[in-house]
Amino acid sequence: MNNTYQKTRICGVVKGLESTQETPESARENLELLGYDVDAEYVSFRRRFKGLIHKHTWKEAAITKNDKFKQKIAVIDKWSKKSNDEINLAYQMAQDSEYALAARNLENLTRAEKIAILEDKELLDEG
Amino acid sequence: MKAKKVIAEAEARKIHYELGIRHPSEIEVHLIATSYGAFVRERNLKGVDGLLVRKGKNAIISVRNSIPEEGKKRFVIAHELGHYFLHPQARQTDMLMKDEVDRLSYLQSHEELEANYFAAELLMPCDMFKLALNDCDPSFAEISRLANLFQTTLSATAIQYVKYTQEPCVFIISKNLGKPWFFVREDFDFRVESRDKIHAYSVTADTIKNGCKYDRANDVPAGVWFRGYSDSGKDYITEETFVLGNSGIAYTLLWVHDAI
Repeated sequence: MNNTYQKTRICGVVKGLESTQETPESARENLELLGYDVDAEYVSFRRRFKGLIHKHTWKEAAITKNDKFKQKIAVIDKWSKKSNDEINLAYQMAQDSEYALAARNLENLTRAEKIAILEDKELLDEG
Repeated sequence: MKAKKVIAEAEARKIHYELGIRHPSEIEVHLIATSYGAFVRERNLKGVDGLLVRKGKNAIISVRNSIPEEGKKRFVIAHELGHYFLHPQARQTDMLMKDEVDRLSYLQSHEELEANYFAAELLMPCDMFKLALNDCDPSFAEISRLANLFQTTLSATAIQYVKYTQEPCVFIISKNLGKPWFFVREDFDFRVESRDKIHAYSVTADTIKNGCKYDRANDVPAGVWFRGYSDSGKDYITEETFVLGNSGIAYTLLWVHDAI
């Protein structure tokens, strides 16, 4: 199915003007005569359709993403085994990087919170 | 700089629209966050309730696993998600200190306020909240019902309730009868008296002093709370108080039940 045909058919279906008797070219011509911008209608339809699909699929997609994320978390546990000095040094380095830009409430952190930041930084670096 | 309430709320509404969320039970905040690239994990945090670490379009939101109330966990996640959406440049890392979400204050930065506006609208969207309101007298029982429906904290729900009910109400938080923090709608006709201590004639003071957890009265002189009225006059309002455990924190709901 070529692009012109696809665009014209979708546009026709959306507007209730579909006719199986028409060639794509004449359907397009007729639609344009009626004042429709076939290309713009196609883009608009694609966007609406995508949005509609997303409304019904986002939750399942998020659950799948979450499961993958949990698998990653399970692997990253090296920080909890490190000494306070090592944690403090790594945290200081992270603080000097982009992760602490204009950060709030980062004073007087406990070891648990520093480990949390270092772990998260590592997870995000991995992508 | 003034908090951009409208923008914060609009951002939350955009999410409902994009995800086709139409019922409170569909507001699964951790999945919503994941859907936009912010992963949520519960952690053994000590001094903080929530933590946000961001890199580009991805982020990780951690929430303290020992928070007992599910509603508070949801609010913490929604608050951090607010920073994620609203302050992409300013906040690469953010921490919501332990119980900070309960310590409402006039001194909060505009970014914190915006994150709270976002969280409230995300968890209790205006249109769904208005539909859920029952036609009954304002009370903590009604607010508690709404908090259960939307799975949020009592304080956040009370603020949303005062915002959207047709009844003229005030929600107040105080600690050990000290200077109260209050929330009223912009079109509220009365001015709450600014005092350093809660008035001794109030139900709140009475409840705390007697070591009680709850009380309600509909004959509290308006002057106990409002400017321009006598504290021994006959213009009465309804006051209901709910004390949180042994914390000394009291939630107070005022309702102008009749013309005064």
